[in-house]
Amino acid sequence: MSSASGRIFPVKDPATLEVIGECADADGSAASAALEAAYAAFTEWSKLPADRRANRLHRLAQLVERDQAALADLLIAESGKPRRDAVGEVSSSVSYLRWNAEEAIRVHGRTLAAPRRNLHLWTHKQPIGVVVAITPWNYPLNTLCRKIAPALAAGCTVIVKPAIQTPLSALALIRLAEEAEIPAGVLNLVTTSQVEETVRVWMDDPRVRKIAFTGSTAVGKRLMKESAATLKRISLELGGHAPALVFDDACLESAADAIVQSRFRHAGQTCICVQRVYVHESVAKELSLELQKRVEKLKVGNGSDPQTDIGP
Amino acid sequence: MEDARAKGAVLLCGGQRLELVEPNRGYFCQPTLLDGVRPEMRVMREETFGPVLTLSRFSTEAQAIAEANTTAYGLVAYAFTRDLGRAHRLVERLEFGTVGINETVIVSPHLPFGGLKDSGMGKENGSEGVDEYLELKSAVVRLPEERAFE
Repeated sequence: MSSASGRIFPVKDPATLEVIGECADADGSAASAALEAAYAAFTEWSKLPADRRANRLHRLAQLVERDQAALADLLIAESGKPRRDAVGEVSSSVSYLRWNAEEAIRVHGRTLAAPRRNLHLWTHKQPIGVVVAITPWNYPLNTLCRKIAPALAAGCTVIVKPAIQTPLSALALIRLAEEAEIPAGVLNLVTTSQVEETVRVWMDDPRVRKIAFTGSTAVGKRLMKESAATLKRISLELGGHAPALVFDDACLESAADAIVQSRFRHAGQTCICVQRVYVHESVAKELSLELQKRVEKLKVGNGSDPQTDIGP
Repeated sequence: MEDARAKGAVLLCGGQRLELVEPNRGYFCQPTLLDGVRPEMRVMREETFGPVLTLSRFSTEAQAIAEANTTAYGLVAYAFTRDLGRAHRLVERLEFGTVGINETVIVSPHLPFGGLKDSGMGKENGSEGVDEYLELKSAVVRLPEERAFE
């Protein structure tokens, strides 16, 4: 990816704070170029028969699987997550690509009863157009595949803007997409530290038909407000504060296992992780001992160490 | 965490920043367990993106549901019980996009996923997730009167 300005920004390993890579720092004109490319590619891609689009996604899934070890290393380096979480993230990314490839060929409308005999009524579905996918640093590959897989299956073209902390796995995925012969312009990566300027270009342009965002509630609300002028479709996967309710009839040992596994995955930096436990007073003491036993065993360290449960 | 302890929460374990050996100069935290946490503490309202788990007690199912529903967020809730009737009540009454019963691994490509309230809108995954990228169009086609062909 090149930026019009020629500027770059560094990417750091959060465990060691060492610089592990650098990325083109796109400005507004690079954001426009990505939009032009996505818009131009839409005509062909959206008209390609669904099974052909599905084939490209299946191929991409195969390539991600082929490179799973390298992709996991990249996720550990840029996000700090422990190895088993990184390996799990790559395999779930593959599952999203595969499932949506299968679903591409099952898009269909309905035929409806008509009020008069010489009328035929039906519905059909068409790809929405150019999509902007904005993804977070905690699950850079997984959240990206959850957006691009259904978008490409549906026949949309996509501009991808990864978080500034974690652009390297997105860059690797885009390279694999090229190898999978997904045509130029269908997937467009924009890495940038100039978020205001680049996102503004897309929010203001009526050719962007959808924003798919995973991130904070504050940013999500702002994107929704800004998409009103051009009435873009918007999907927002925002913050969570998940409770876990433990009743007196529960199996406390398996509840403690599940809660600790959920809360401390990726150092608690997961939007679906348990944050608050509510326990019935009659089993509170027992559950707190079970939890404490498990929490005290967790090992904090560099994600690349296979013993590590919790990274930076 | 300081706010919670000042208001009476008890630290069961962890609670410290960790200094690791070189070259690990990043920000590492001990996994932390806080007991006796109450709704007015910040840790119960704001998303804690770090290794901190809080414990609170309840006496009735209705109270547990009410307290679980107090935050503005509504992404996922979990419950542990062997009572089937209660499990179904919880799925209905907890104001969260996904409810996991006796399970905390809840995201899969097949199952729609998305939050209520301040946790968002729209669904990812499942055929509903694909629909988010499709326009639904309606067609009304008037055919020639049949007698034209008689």
